[in-house]
Amino acid sequence: MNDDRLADLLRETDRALPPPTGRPDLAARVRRRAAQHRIVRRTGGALAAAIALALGATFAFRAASHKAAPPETPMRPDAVQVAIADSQEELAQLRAELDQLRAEADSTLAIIEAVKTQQQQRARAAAIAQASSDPQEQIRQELDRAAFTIVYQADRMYRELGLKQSAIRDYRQTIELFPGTPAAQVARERLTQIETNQGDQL
Amino acid sequence: MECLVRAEPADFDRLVATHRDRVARLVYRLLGWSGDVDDVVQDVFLAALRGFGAFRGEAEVATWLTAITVNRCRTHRRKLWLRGKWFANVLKGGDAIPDSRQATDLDVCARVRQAVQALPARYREVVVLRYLEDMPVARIGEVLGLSPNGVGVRLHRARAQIKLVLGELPEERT
Repeated sequence: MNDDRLADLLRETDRALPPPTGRPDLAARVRRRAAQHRIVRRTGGALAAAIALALGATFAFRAASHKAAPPETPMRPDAVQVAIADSQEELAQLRAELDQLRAEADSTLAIIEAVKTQQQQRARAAAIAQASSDPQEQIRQELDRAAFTIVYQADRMYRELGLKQSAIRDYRQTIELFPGTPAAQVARERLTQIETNQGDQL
Repeated sequence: MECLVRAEPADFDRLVATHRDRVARLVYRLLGWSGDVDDVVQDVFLAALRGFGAFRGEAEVATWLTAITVNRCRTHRRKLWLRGKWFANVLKGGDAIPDSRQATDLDVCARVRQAVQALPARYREVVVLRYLEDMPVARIGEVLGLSPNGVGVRLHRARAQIKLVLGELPEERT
């Protein structure tokens, strides 16, 4: 059997068989399948991402828990003794440092108290010195205060109670007793005003 | 060709309408004149729809679709093998090659068909493309990714196997 005969046989066989039959709307069906594949791919991608995230979180949590609680290895007796000796030395050292700090704090407090007392004494001495430095000035201030009080009372008698004669007497008394004070000047002005008022009424 | 590159829906409809029958026939032949032709044809055009953007227009549309069809038929056969249908068919004896005594009871077309079905896929592909699709050897090489010499070798071996099965046939039919 040569090649041409074989080719003829193949073609005859192909022609003898019924042609394939397909359903209509192939293009629409292909598009529908493409859309379904897209949905499946997207859903699958999201699902895979969620699973990967969950696995990653699980592994991270496990790693963190392993780091947080490392396995404890038992210590040998000689190592325990060394550790105890080291800790006693550290304890003694800490106590000495504590005592030293306490002593420093006490001395600092004593210094502060001494400085405070000294400052109070100085303030008191300064007040006494200021008070006793100028007795004439102090007397002058007292005289001014007394003269002002008399003039104030005379003003009230004249304006609020209408006791003109008593007010005139107090003004004149202020001028006589405290002649150089500002209140004496005020008393003079009040007397002038009263005399002017009497002249206007006449 | 330009329209395919732009991948408009109307262009895809036109592509399906133009090449549907040819692709269906090719699938039918590559699967040994049997099998789920409609499903494979759908797969072929689905792959074509996905590959619209990647199709550069360097080859003819027919050649491009033929290459897709060959690949989809291979995938289909792989799926069948994985599902165990192949073994089920063998056990039923539906597509098995008859021995020479049984073969004498079948007509020539059935024997030729069974001989082609019995060919390994790589040989069946070249036989179908060369003798039934009348494709030149150079284009077969383009579709299958083979050199012309490689195509020639496969054709030679396929013919030898078919002749071996059909050895007792008369030289000429009346």
